[in-house]
Amino acid sequence: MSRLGTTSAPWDAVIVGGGHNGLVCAALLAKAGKKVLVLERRERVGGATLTEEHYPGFRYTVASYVVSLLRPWLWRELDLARHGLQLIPLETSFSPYPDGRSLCRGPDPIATREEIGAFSRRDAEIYPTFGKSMGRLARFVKRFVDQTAPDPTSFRPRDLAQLVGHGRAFRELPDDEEALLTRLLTASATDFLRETFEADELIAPMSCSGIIGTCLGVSSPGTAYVLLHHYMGEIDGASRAWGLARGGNGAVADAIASSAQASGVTIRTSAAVDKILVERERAVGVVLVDGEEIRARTVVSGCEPRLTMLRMVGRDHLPSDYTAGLERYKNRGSSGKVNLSLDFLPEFTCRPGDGHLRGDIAIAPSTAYLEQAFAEAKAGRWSRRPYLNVVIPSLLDRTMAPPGKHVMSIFVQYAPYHLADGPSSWPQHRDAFRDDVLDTLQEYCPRLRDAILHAQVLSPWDLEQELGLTEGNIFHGELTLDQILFQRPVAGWARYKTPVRDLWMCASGTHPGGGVMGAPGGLCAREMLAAGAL
Amino acid sequence: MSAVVVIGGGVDGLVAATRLARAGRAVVVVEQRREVGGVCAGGSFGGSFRHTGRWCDTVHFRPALAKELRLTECGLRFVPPADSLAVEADGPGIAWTSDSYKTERDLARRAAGDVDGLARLQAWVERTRPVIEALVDAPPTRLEGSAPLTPLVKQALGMRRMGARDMLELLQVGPAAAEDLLASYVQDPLLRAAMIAPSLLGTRMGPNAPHSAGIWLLYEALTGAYEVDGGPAGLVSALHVAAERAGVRFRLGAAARRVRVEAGAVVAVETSEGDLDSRAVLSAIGPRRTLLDLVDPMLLPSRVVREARALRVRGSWAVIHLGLSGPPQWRSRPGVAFGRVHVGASPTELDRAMDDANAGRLPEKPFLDVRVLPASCAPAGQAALTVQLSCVPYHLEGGWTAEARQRLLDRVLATLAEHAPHLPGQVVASEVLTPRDLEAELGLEGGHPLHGEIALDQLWALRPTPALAGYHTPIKGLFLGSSGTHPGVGRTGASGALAAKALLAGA
Ligand SMILES: Cc1cc2nc3c(=O)[nH]c(=O)nc-3n(C[C@H](O)[C@H](O)[C@H](O)COP(=O)(O)OP(=O)(O)OC[C@H]3O[C@@H](n4cnc5c(N)ncnc54)[C@H](O)[C@@H]3O)c2cc1C
Ligand SMILES: Cc1cc2nc3c(=O)[nH]c(=O)nc-3n(C[C@H](O)[C@H](O)[C@H](O)COP(=O)(O)OP(=O)(O)OC[C@H]3O[C@@H](n4cnc5c(N)ncnc54)[C@H](O)[C@@H]3O)c2cc1C
Repeated sequence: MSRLGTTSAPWDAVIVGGGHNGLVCAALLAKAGKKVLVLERRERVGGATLTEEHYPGFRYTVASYVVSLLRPWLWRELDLARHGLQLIPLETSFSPYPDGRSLCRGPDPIATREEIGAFSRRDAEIYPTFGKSMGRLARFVKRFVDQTAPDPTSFRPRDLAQLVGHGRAFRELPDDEEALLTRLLTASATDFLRETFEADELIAPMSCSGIIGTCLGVSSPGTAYVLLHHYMGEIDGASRAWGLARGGNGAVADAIASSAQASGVTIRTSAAVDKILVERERAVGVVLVDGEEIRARTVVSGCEPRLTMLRMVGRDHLPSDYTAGLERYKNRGSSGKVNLSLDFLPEFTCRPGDGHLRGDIAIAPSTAYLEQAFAEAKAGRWSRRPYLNVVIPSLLDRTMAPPGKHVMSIFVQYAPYHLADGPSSWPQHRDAFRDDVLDTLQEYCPRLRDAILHAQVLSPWDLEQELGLTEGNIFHGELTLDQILFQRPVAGWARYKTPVRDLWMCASGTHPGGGVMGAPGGLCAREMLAAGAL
Repeated sequence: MSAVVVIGGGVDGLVAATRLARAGRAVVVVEQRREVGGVCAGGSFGGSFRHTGRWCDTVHFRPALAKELRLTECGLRFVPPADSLAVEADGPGIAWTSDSYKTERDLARRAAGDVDGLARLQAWVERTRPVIEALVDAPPTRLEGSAPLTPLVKQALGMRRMGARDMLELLQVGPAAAEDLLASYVQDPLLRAAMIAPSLLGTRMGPNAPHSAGIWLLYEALTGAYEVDGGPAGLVSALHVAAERAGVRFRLGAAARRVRVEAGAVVAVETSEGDLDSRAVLSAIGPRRTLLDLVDPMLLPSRVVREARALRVRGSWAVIHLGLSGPPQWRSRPGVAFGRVHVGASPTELDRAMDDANAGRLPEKPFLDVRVLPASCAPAGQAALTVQLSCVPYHLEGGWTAEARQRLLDRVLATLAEHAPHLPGQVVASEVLTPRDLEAELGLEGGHPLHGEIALDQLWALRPTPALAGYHTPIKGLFLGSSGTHPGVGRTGASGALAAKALLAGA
């Protein structure tokens, strides 16, 4: 029998979900000459990389807010600069403390040394060396980000060669960096940092990047490895490279969408997929919520794995151990977002001015504070005094707010999806949650509330309802050692394929995971083309 | 040739010394206490009661070692594990007895699918056992330097032989949470609590912590089918006999103060009872203490010192010995005697208790592992108990004052009273050992039973630290060999045995 669909399906691939990964995958398939349709549920593409105006003249970078991991090879292949994407480096990390002191780490090594020296002379000396080692390790880890996940069970030459290659690269690291890497993969963020640093004021804000997107504490084992992400940035070759997209993170999706359309991709918004059609164990198309049926030779899901496989495909079509794997897949949302429109820039009491506010601002005054925040989450409450990561894009990008006014993006952890009285109680608690966030920040910026013109509050429940993020997990599944590489999302199914033939997955729930990086989408397209799937 | 000095006469020191002596080396064991055995040494308390060691588990001792050292000829006897019971507040709990049919009926009554789930879980553990045993019985592969990775590749191939499915499962389970793993097989929280709690000894992890499943699996796969008659003290006495028969000499009551080094090599061990010249020293006490206290840190590469300082050795265990006027009566099973009783309702409670401990508080609801010691440990008609508690902080808020120790005892007795209402009234003798006391009495730094926390970043090639990985040190002739080195999970004897092997190969 000839391949199903060659005559009946007008599309080579239909992509479910117009998040940035779905768009990347679509663009690369189209560049290879395929006919591709993207279906996005919302009226706008972008998913968790989204810019929207909720108060006239003020633009929110609604969910994700910084870019660092976007793969350079995608920049080139999709020609994103020509499609309007521009990044503005974020240079400083500022942390205030309740006792009136503060710490600002930035690109100037001498100034940074002085800043850290106020807390610990020893730490100030080691800080640059540590950064360099971490940078080198990040380069090592990037090997994994730009390749499909290794398959340790396979005896095929290609897979063995890949494993051996990784082993060699590991061996080429200097001894103490090998040690650092093995500890990074296994230790907790605080244990790992304490091996090098002594000042809790430094360790606390640094450790936070280890918990983002997980429902773990800074001293939970396995959280160290996410610290590396902070050193993986590749913007203009700058060392500590987080950046803002001009126009907010929605600009990333818009540039990719524009590139995709230029290659011939058709994008339909306000087109929510209800079911993925499976006939004779193959995916043959999709059915939209309004009943419209669209047939295609392959279906690629740019949505979260559980949503895709359990809701859109259905258990009937899946082997039981795959379903069991998905059920075990940890997707616990733990963060929320508050976006503010501000009439003026509220200053921090401990350090007036705005030079130190042009980067990210971390409210993480001590590791004990962070532990307490986590303990509350475990008990099914949001942290009354949460970890906050604040960015004020309008200080760097005038397109975000009217002159003299500002927008503020506040990432909040912990806001557990599973509240003691159930996730659907979140709407009742939204205001109380917002107040706790504002109270927390107001301790350092007394005039904060006076400046607020509008606030958008997104609990993990809202992230699920609005953006299709299952349980509100920002990465489509926690990035822990048991859920990365060949185990993402299910062991043995990490190469974008699924147990349903002609159904592929290309979003953050696949290797190498969440974040605005485009790697899952890009690698999925490569695999599909290499496999001659369409 | 000068004698090899083994510092510390605990289980690992005894195993190492015996192995060395049998290989023809002259060996002296230096032990600070008046008796050998360390944490496994038996003793008396409350005048007329005896205990069989600060801990009672002997199921992890490697059977191959017992054979190699011919311990049965030295009085070692293996016996089936005692009947045990997981109690619950208002119900019969779960009993494990020699009648496994009854246990199954118990389990099935509580949750219909659990008998089957447990069987599947056990079958899987069985399949992973060879891989784990191979890992534990061989020295760790050094990941650093230019040493060939061949052993690692061999181990990986061994893993592949399990088949793709089991291998993937193993790789996934390692870094997962114990509670997530067990909950996917077993529904009953009481059963899960009883299964998980003992394995997290030596960690600071609760059952929901990442990596705890890997630790659970290690513990479970190394659990043998038999216990040693007479408990740890029985094991120690056989090891002691074996060592003496092999010609090992003992210096009891001699605390090692310093390892003297000249030109980068060991020349002598200074002890409280005089110096011993030696070119080869195997330290079977904690690696951290060995490197930072016994050796002049100036002689070590700065990286080794930095890593040794960072080695986490804080314990979170305490032991209470109780002398009772009569045998305990458990409300869950009136009139039935058990050798071991688990107290702790669910993994969630265990998680909370660990949170309490990590925050420096006494746990609200302590988890107890109670052993009813052999009748010979108590005067006729009376009973001796050893209660092992997890989740007791080394750094207690407010310090370990006499009042705090009393509070700990009171809390334990109150917890026991919920399940054995008469027990507090039966207490005629008690001895409380907090992590601080264990440190002071046994030289266990941080009170840690295993000379170093058990966590993925302190196991295998990372135990005791990445720079040391295994048994060698940068000082010629100085070897490490306590449970602070690989494998370090429980009282396997393997650390001492592997260290002796390294010494024989390298010195
Ligand atoms: C609050 C928050 C803050 C974050 N901060 C950062 C950050 O600063 N830096 C960073 O790198 N990463 C950050 N992230 C993570 C990052 O944004 C995501 O990992 C990434 O954007 C996910 O992209 P994706 O394409 O894989 O999936 P998504 O962006 O989730 O795309 C999925 C798409 O599918 C659509 N969809 C859902 N259901 C259907 C349906 N039935 N039919 C059709 N379409 C459907 C959705 O509307 C969505 O557009 C953050 C995430 C959140 C939520
Ligand atoms: C509370 C507790 C609970 C435990 N639970 C379990 C369990 O459930 N399962 C399990 O398998 N294992 C358990 N163990 C651990 C097990 O007992 C140990 O891992 C094992 O006995 C360690 O043996 P070792 O020889 O390495 O160390 P140790 O037994 O500590 O031996 C070290 C010896 O060296 C001596 N010494 C110390 N310093 C000096 C010095 N400077 N000079 C001379 N001598 C010195 C000490 O006095 C001691 O005799 C537990 C231990 C404790 C304390």
